Amino acid sequence: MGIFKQSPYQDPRTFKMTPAMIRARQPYFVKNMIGLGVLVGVTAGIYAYTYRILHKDDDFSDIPIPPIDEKELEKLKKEYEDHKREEQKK
Amino acid sequence: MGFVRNALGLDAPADPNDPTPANRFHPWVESPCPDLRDRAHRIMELAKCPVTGEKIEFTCPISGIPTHHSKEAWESDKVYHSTKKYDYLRKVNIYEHDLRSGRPFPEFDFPLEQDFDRVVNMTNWDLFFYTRQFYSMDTEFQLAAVTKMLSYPMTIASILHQYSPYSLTPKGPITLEGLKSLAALRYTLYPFEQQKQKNLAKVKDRPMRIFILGARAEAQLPGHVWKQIQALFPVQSFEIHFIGPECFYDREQGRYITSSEPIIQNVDETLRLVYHTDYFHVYHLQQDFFPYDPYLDVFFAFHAGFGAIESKNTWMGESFKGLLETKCGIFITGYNKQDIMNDWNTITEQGHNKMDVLMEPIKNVFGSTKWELNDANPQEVYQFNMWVAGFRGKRYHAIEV
Repeated sequence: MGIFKQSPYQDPRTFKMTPAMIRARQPYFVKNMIGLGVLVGVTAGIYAYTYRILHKDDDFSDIPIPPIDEKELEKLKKEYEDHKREEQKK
Repeated sequence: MGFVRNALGLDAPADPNDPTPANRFHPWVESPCPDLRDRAHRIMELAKCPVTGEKIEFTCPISGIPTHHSKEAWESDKVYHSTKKYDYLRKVNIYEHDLRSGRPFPEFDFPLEQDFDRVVNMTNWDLFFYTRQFYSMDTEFQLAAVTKMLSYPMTIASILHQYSPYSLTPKGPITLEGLKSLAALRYTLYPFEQQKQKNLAKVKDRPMRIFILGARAEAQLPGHVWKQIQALFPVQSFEIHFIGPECFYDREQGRYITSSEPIIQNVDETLRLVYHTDYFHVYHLQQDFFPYDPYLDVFFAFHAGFGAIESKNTWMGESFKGLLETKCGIFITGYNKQDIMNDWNTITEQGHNKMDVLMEPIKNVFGSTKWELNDANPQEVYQFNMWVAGFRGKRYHAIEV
């Protein structure tokens, strides 16, 4: 199979590029590096943007708290205290 | 140890037989190769010292080539040291020793046909070798050995190829007239373009003829070297016509053969080498090559010496007239700038108003990288096919009456 044949432009043991291949790639080196910079920049930019959006300190302050009755509040507080006491007993 | 070295990705220790500038260096007078010792003695006989004008007796210690009369003359030669000419001479020395070293030459196994989906890049030697998947030539020695041989077919192919490194003026050396001639030839070389449009004229169905004028060393190259042209243009078949009295060398008889009939060698069904052992004008006047077709014929002359004193008369008479009459593209090479400008000035002077320039003289991208020296003047170093240029007989356009 042609695909699995090792390229003559690789060192047969270390698989490094041979000097001939490095010479052949020389004219494209700068442009390739610029291309790499652009692609990495776009990807890293998207990551950074998403990370910042998701990690904003959000205390739900923009969500309005529904109004609550005083009695209801007392009852809930008591329930909470009872529950706490029971937890401590255990 | 080998395993650890591999794992660390370190280089293997160099084979002592691998060519390096150090192990290929020997002064020519004490060379292990008898023919280089003879050559050193020939230089001493033929050449004169550039400083004192006397016989050459001193071998330059840097290049190992006899260059001057004495050590004092060598030291006082300012030009020689300021232009670093010894570097080129040293390269001549080590390349010649490398060819005689008896090391294996795997780089001479050339690839054959190219896969469909692999485009050949003709920007320079390195990219050409890589895209054609030649043996990986890592040292200058391997390049020198192979490019000297491939320079002839690749100079032809690089001019004709659709991805030629020579572009139109002002970005490159090709003039508008040159593009017309090359477009005609590429029309034949890439027939798929013809099939795309139905109304285009069809080119005659015969092999493309490449005429090589004043053929000498290039005529002795084996068929598989010329096959490299055909491998780049797989749909076209070629006939390569070598023309000139020194184009067929018989090894058994040890001399150049003259034959009234052309000598034909078939490499395969797509490539045929034809040797014509007389001057071009002889065949032209006999109409042996008639009819010429600018779509199918092209001329090349490698270091022909149109302007050189010893060959000017044979070229610039009937041969030059005949070449202009063919109206086909003619490309010439020279072994240094002075050589090609000498030819070029002779041609443009004599062809004034009778010819169009196809390609201004320019350094050949596919010239040999092996340095050579002139025995009669060891300071004159050159490379084969270093410069290239092109011209054609003027075509007159139809005038509206």
